[in-house]
Amino acid sequence: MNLSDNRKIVKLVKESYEPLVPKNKPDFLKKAEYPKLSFKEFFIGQIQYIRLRTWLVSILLFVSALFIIELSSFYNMNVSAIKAASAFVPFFVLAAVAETARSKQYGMKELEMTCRFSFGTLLLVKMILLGILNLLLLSGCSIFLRFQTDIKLFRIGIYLLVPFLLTCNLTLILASLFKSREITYFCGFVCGIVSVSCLFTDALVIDIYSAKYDVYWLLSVGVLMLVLVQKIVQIIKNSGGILWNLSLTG
Amino acid sequence: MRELLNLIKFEYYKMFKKKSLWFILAGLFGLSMLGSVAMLLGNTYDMEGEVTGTRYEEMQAERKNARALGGRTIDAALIQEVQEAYRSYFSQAEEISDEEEKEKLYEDTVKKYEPIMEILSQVYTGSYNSQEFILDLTEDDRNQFYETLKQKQKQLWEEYFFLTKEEESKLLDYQQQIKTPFIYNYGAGWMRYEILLYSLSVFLMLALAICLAPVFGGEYTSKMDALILSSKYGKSKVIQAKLIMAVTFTIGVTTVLLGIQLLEIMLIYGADGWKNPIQFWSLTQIVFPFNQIEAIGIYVLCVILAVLFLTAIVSLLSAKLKSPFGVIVICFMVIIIPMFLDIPEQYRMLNSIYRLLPICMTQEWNVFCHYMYGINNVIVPTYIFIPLFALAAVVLLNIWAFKVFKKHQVA
Amino acid sequence: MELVIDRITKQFKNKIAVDHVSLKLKEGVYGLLGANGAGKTTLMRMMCGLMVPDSGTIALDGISMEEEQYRDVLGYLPQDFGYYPDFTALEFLMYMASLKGIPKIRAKEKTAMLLEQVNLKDVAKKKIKTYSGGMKQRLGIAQALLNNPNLLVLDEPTAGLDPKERVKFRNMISELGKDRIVLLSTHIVSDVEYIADYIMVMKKGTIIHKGAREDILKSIDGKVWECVVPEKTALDLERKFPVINIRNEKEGIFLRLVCEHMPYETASICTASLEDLYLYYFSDEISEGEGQP
Repeated sequence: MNLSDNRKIVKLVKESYEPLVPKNKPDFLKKAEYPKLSFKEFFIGQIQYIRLRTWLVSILLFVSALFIIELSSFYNMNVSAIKAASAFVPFFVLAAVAETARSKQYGMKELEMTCRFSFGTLLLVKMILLGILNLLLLSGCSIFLRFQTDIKLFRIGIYLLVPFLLTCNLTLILASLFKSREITYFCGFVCGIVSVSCLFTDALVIDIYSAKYDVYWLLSVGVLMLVLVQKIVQIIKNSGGILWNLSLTG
Repeated sequence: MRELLNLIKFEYYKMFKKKSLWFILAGLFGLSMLGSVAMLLGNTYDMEGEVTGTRYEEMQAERKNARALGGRTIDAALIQEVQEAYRSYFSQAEEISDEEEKEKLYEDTVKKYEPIMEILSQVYTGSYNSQEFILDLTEDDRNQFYETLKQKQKQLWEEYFFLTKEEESKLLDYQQQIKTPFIYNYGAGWMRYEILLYSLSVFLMLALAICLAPVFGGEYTSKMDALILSSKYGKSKVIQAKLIMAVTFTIGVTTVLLGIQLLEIMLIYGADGWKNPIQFWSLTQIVFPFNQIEAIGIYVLCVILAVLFLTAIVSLLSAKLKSPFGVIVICFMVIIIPMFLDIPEQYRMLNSIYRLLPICMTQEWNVFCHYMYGINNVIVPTYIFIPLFALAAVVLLNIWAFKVFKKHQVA
Repeated sequence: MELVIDRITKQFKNKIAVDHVSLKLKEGVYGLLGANGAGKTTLMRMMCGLMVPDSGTIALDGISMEEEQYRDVLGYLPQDFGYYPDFTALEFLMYMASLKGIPKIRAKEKTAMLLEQVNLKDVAKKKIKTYSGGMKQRLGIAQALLNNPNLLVLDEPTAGLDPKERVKFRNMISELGKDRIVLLSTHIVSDVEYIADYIMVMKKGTIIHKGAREDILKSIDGKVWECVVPEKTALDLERKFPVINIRNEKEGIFLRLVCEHMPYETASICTASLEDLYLYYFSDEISEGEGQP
C-alpha cells in the first residue's frame, strides 16, 4: 500500500463517518500538560531576544574594521594593518557587555531568577551566543588580514585574540568588582585603553609583532583563556542570589 | 548667580559620586605617568645581546654629553670642529679591528657631537643618522649651513606639498623671521613632552567622552528628565550648569594632567633647551619662528581647545541620544577612526576639513603644518586657525546642546 | 487662582492622545479618572511643560506654561518617578530644592519638615537605592511639595503605598487642596472618591464627564443592580454587561453589574458608587483587554 492509497482511504473514512463532538474540550486543554522547551530550543530561541542593535553595532564595527585595515597605508603595511584590526577588536566586547548587562539595567534580573531557565543559565547562553558572534567576526578579520598581509593566519589569529581576551577579562573583573549601573562606563574605558594601546605599540622598544615573540603571544592566549573560563564560572555561580536591601522588608 | 553656582556644585557632586569617574581618572593619570618613563625602562644591549646598562643610564650619559655642548652656537666653526673629530675617528677606526676598541674610540672622540650631527645630517642629507657626509663638507658648505637649511625647507614644500602661491609667500615670510644662528642646548625633555602630547590627548579624549556622556543622557536613563524639566530652573540654569560643569571639568582635568606630565618630564630630563628653536623638532619641515616653550604653549592651547571641542560634541550627543552608551560608541569612533584615515593632500578642501577633527587638532605635524586656512590673500596658519575654529565650534555646539535638552519632550 | 486649559490637543502619529480638551480649574482637588491609554499622563505632561501641545494653550493666572514663572509654582510627581540611586533622601531633596530655586537655608528647613511629614526622617541619610517602593513614592511626594506649589500635579501618587500610608496621603492632599489646585490621576477609584472635590472622567483623549462626585454619579443613577443567579445565567450576564463584583454563594452566583434596565427578574437596584461609574464608562475597554467579544 502506498501513500496515495493511504490518502484515499483516509478521505473515504472522513466522508463516511461523522466525527464525534468533543466534550469538555476547554477543561481538558486547561489541565493538559504541554511539552516543555528543551535546553536546545531555549538556546536557539534566545537568538531573537538579543537586541537588533547589538547585531547591527557588531556588524558595523566589523565592516569598519575591514575598511580601516584596507586603508592602512603606513610604511610597514603588515604591522599597521594588524594594529588597525587590534584597535577595533575590543569594541566587539563592548557591544556584548551592553547586552549582558541588560537584565540588571532594566530591572528584569529578579524575574529571570525565578524562571525555569534562570538568570545564571540565561547569562551563560547570552555569553555563548555573543562569544560565537565575536569569534566569527574575529575569524572574518583574520581571514581578511591574511589577504592583506603576508603573515600566517595562525599568527594573525593570536595577535587579534590577545587584545580581545584581555578586554573580556578586564571587563569581567570590573563587572565582579563594581556591581553598579556604571559598569558600561568602566568597560568603555577599558576598551578604549586596550584599543588605543594597540595603536601605540610603536612606543615600545621591541617589535612585538616579530616572529621571535610568538611564543609569548601563545602563552598570553593560554593564560587569558584560562582566566576567562574561571571568571565566567564564578559569575554564573554567583548569579543565584540578590543583595539584601530595604525593599525586601517592604 | 548664586543659584547657578549651587547647581554647578550639584552637577560636580553627581559626577564625583560615580566610582567609574575615579577609576577612569586614576587610570588616566597612571597612563600619563607611565608614558613619561616608558622609554627609560629596560636595559640597553650591545651587538652580542649582552646587557650594557639601563635606558635611564643611557639617557643620563646622553644628557651629560649634550650639556657639554650647551650654549654653543651652531656655526661654521662648530661644524668644522665636528668634521675634524669625525675625520680623526674614521681614520683611526680603519686601523682597529676590535669592535670594543672601536666603540671606545667612538665614545672618546665623536659621541659628544651626536646631537649636532643629527642636526647637520638633516640639513645636508635629509636623514637623521648619516655620518659619512661630514667628511665631504667644504668651507662653503659650512658657511652656507643656514642657506642650505632654508633651501631644503623650500624644496620640501615645493616638491611634497600642494601649496597655493599665497601660502608659499607666507611661509617665506616666516622663514625670514627664524633667528639664526641656532644656539644648541639639551632639549630632550621638551621634545619628549611634545611627542607624548598626542598620545596623551587620545587617552584624555576617550576618558572625557566616558565621564561626560551621562551629563544629559544620564538624566534620561535615570528618568530624572521629567522632574528636572518641570522645575523652575530646569529649562535654563540647570542646563547652563551642566554645560559649564562639562567645560570647566574638561579644562581642569586637561590642565592638571598636562601640567603633571610636564612636571614629571622636566624632573626626569631637565628643563634645559626651552629657548631652542622649534626647528629642532624637524629641521626641514617646520618654518615657524618659535622657540620650544612658545611652540609647546601653542601646542598645549590647541590640545586643550581640541579636547573642549570633543567635550562639546559629547554634550550635544548626550542631549540628543537617549542613552550614554550610544554617545560613548560614537565618540570613540570620532576619536579612533581619523587616526587611521589619511585624506590625500591633493584634495585640499577635504584634507582641510579632516584636519579640523578633534583628534587631528592634537597632532603636532598638523598644528605646525605648511597648509593654511583662508581665502585669497587673507590666510592664517593652522596653529592660529585651530584654536579659533575650536572655540567657535565649542560655543555653537554648546548652544545647540542647550536647545536640544530644553526642547526635549518627555514621552 | 485659575488654571485655564484651552483646546489642548496632542497627536502621536495616528493616535490622538488628547483631543481638544478644555478645562478651567480653581482651588481644590481634582481627580482624573480614566483607563490606561485614555490620555491622562499626556495631559498632565503638557500641563507641566514636558510636552508641547500640537494646539491650544495652558495658563495659570495668565502665565503661560512655557514660562519660568509657571514652573516656579508647579509641583509634579510623575508616574514613573526617577531618582539618583546613590543620593540619600536628604541630598535628593536639597538637589530638587536647588532646581526649584529655593535658597539653601529655607531648603534645609523645608526638607526636614517634609521628611518628617512623609515619615522618612529616620532613613533620610540612607541611599535611595535601598528604599522600598513605598518609601520612594513618599520621597516623590515630598519633592513635589518643596516649593509650596500653587499647582500640584500627581500622576498615580498612591501606587506602592500600603493602606495606612494611603490614608495618611489622602488626608495630606485634602489639607493641601484648600488653597491650591491639586490634580491627581489614579486607578484607585476609592482615592478619588475620598479626596477629590471634582472628578473628571477621561476616555480616548476627551473629558467625557466632569463635576462634583454627586453630580457625575447621577449619570448612572438607577443603573446599578445586584442579583443572585444560576451559573449559566451568570455567564450570560457577564458577557452582556459590565460586572463590578462576582462571587459564589450557596444559592448561586452573586453579581453586581451596571445595566440600563433590570437584567434579571430578582435583581434589585443599588446606590451607585464611583467604581460603578468607572466600569460603566470603560467596560468596552476592559472587555477588549480580556479578549471578550
